[in-house]
This record gives sequence, C-alpha cells and structure tokens, in this order.
Amino acid sequence: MRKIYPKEEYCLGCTLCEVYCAVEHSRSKNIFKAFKETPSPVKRILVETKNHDALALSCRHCDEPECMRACIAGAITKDKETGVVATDYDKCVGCWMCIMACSFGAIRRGSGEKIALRCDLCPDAAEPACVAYCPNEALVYEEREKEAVRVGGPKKDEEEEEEILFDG
Amino acid sequence: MAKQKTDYLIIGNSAAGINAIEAIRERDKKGKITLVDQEDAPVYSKPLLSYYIAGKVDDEKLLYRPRDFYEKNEVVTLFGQKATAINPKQKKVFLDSGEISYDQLLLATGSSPIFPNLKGVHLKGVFVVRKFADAKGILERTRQARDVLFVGGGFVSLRTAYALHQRGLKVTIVVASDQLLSRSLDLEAANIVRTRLEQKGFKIITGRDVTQIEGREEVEGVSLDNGELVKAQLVVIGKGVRPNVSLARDSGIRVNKGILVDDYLQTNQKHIYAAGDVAETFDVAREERALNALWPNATEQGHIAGLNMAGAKRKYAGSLGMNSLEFFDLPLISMGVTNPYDKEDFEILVKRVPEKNIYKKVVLKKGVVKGAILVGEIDRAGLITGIIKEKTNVSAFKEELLEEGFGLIRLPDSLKKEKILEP
Repeated sequence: MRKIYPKEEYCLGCTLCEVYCAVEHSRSKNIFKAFKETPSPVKRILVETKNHDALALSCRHCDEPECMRACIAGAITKDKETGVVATDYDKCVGCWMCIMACSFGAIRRGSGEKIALRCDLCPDAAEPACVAYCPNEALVYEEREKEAVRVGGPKKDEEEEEEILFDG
Repeated sequence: MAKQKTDYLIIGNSAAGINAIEAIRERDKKGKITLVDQEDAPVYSKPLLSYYIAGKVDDEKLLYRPRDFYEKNEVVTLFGQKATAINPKQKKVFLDSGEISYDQLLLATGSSPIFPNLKGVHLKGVFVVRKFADAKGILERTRQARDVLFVGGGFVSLRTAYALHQRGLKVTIVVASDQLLSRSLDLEAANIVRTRLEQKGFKIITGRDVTQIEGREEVEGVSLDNGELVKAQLVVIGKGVRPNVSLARDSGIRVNKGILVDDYLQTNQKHIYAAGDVAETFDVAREERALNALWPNATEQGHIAGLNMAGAKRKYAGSLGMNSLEFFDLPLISMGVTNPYDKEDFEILVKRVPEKNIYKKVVLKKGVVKGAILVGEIDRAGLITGIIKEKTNVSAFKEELLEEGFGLIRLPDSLKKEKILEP
C-alpha cells in the first residue's frame, strides 16, 4: 500500500507538516480559522527532534496493528483492500489502550474529546497534507515493497518446518 | 444435535476466540469453523462493561464485532451449549447435547471472577463485573442503591466505581493492601490516584479486610476486620479472575495455574491450542510463566493460535501485563514490572511534577526496560511497550526515556532504520 515515509536526512524539523495536518483535520480546513475552533484541531503527525536531526512520524498502517489488537471497543480495523488502519470515532471510548500498545507512539489523544486520533492519509485530499506541504520533500507518499516492521511485533512465520514440541 | 464434524472447533466467544476465527479465515477461506459458548449472545467487549454501566456505550456499541460477523466468516455457532469433556486421542469434544469431531481445537474458555469465601456473598445486591448480565444487574440495582461498596481496588473495580460515581452513587472502596491497584502501581502512583478520587468524594479504606457481607435477603453493608460496619445497598466484588481450566485439566491437558502452552500456543496435546485468559504464557517482562488475563494479550494469542491452527508456524513472543485507565482527567498506564521486590537487580528512574500530578517511572534490569508507570502524562506510552517487548538495551539513552521529547529518533540508527526509515 502507499504510505507516508519520512526522510530523516531531508527533514528540517520545521513542523509545517504538523500545522497542515491539524488544518486538514479541522472543521474549516482553513489555516486562519482552524486554530480558533473548539475542540482545537489535533495533528496526527509528530516531528521528533534530537540535536540537529528531525524525523516526522505518523501511523505506519501496520500489517498487523498492535493498536487494533489492544482496542477493547472493536473500533480499529484494517481495510483488507486498501491496507488503511482506521479508527471508528463513534465507537472509540478513549480508554488509551491503543496509545499503550502502539510501539511507534503514533496515536494521540483528542483535545477535550475522549478519542484516540491517528493519521487517516487525508482521504479528502489528493495527497496527505503533510506530504503536500513539506517544503523540503522530507515526506513521501509512495508504495514500497517491504512493509515497515513493528517494534516488538510478532515475527513472521518461520521458514523451517520444525516439529512443534511441548516444552512447558 | 447429535454428532458433528468440523475442521476448526473454538470454545469461547470472546477476544481470543474471535481473533482466532479472523486469523483462520486469513489463511483458510473454506474450512468449517464451529464456535461453542455457554453464553447465548453475539460477542461483546467485557472491558467495555464499565462504560456500559456509565451509560457511555449502549447495547450496540458494546458489541466487539458487527452482528453479522458469524455469517460473514461462515462460522457455525453453538451458543448456550457447554463443552463437558475432550477426548484428545479421538479428537472429539462432548457437549451437553452431543459431540463434535475436530481437526484443530482452540480452548479459549476465559476466566471467572474470584468470589471470596465471605458470609453474605450471595445476598441480593452483591455483584461481580464480568458478563453482560452482571452489568445489567448492577444498573438495575442503582435504581434503589445510593451507596456502593467495592471489595478490592483493581482496574475493574476502579473503572466500575468511576462509572457508578457518574451515575450519582456514593462510592466506598475497601482494599486489603495499603494501596489501590497494588498489582500494577507503586504506593506513590497509587496515592496520586487515591487523592484524586478522595477529592471527588470517594471513600477509600486501605489495609482492611471485609469479614462479612451484611443483610438478610438484600445486602445492607459490610463488616470490616476492625469491627466497623459500612453501609451499602450495592456491593461489587473485584478480587480478580481465575482461569477456567477444569475442562482442559479433566481431559489430560497439562495445566499449572492456567493451561500450559508452547511457543506456538499449542498445549501438550497435538492439535489442541489455548489462548486468552485461560492460557498461562511466558511473560516477557517478568521472564517467567504467568497469567496475564488482559484484552490485548487475549486478542494477540487468539490471532497467533488461529494462524497456527490453519497451518502457519508463528511463534508467540510472549505476554505482558499492561493496563490503562483515566478518570477525572487523570490518565495512567502501567506495564510490566513496576514494583520489583529484589531492588538490587533493578534500576529505577523517576520523574515527578507534583503540581501537574505527573509521576513517571521506568524499571530497568541490566540496561533493559522491564516495566513502567505513567501517571498524568501518557502520550506515546507505546514507545516504552515496544522497548520492553524488543528488549532494547537503553543504557546509552536511559535518562531520556522519561523526557517529553523521547521518541524513536533517540534510538540507535540501526534500530530506527529497521523500524521505519527503510522500507
């Protein structure tokens, strides 16, 4: 699937992606009005910085999402066709189990609302706002062969056909 | 129903069973799946019951999957039926009303609440929070009850207490230890929670045992071991759960506290798997076998067991005790080893911002994170979960773990690249 990939070596840490992400997820979608709204719009991408390095991180839309397994409300699903991991905000109760489970730290609490927000790849826009407005092309939206690997996630099926033995 | 045959037989219609069905269907679109459960209801979320009691979710939103889940996944449901015995050699399960031959069997029989051996525990108005009927019963009881008393101060008790407080009841919580959430938090974190609850009018009694539940037919209160009588027209028992192992144990399947499984979640009997609350698995933080009867563990185990039942060879990395809670705008998350006994082996890092009710703690052993408590500031908590599961050596940047700006960028390049930067 097409995903947003950060390019650390190009990222200036300007956080414009955060700003335009929040605007795209506001009610007005207008940069002059968005930040006056209540609840205030929430960015779903986060620029991490360390000394002069920066890295913009958003939902990885994992193959086997840990957030989806952790969700007690059955609110998180992965679309079999598109691969998009989506949260049904009508079902989300704000228990924060997904925030506890996501090893990328890519899910955020809503502002004032008890819902857990994530990148939705901007379904209303031609391409995700963070990618479109990045001044240095440090974010790309593309299809790559090998999918991102999750931290601590289950390993893929083992190749060798060893006998399964009880070792308890 | 007399005799039936199925490719996959799943006992237990909850987190593990449902995720197993989905995993089987990822690999096998045609095989016959049969699902047995004593309860006659579409799958609902047990952890949501406190939200149901609070009125935050209704009957529909309580459902974990849409009503047509079974139809869409072509699952034969045998609800309201009890599995009474297994014959692993003949690959048969006996039900109240017949028998089923299986090719692969999953035991996802869950756990049951522990009822303390107390006089009065069966009085009208005494509940546990486990099933839909319990939640319904508690809600019904709130019509006449003004005072609710909780025996035990774990996550289920606290969530339900919060729900009933929102419904206007006066809440008392009695715990035998000297703190709330004694299995998940340390005293300092628990005291932040306690103070917040007391500010909102909760009465918290620590270090006291309930000796008897008082009343004739209906509950009227409880007696404590100091002779004190606390009145309550609704009593909720929250003393944890015990895995439902009798079916397995009586059928020659190896059981310790829970059903013992190998790295692939198979029991000592071939073609029989166990997942969810009933399974005793390797705890990645404690580095020993443990019962971690928690939703995220159950769903993942169900998923992996399902894949393996359908022919995969997927290893289970292990379970982790973890939970999350928020009330009165005070969020908290606890994971892994939070309060080690043998403190010499462990290194503990703490960050406190008392005016904001922030308390964060990570527990390390030989440079590897084994647990954490996050109170008041839980954003990106999963970064720590990942580091625990991955057993990343954090010695070089451990001081940064509790900083607000901690992120994947702090990880060594090799790890970071593997995770996100390179495809």
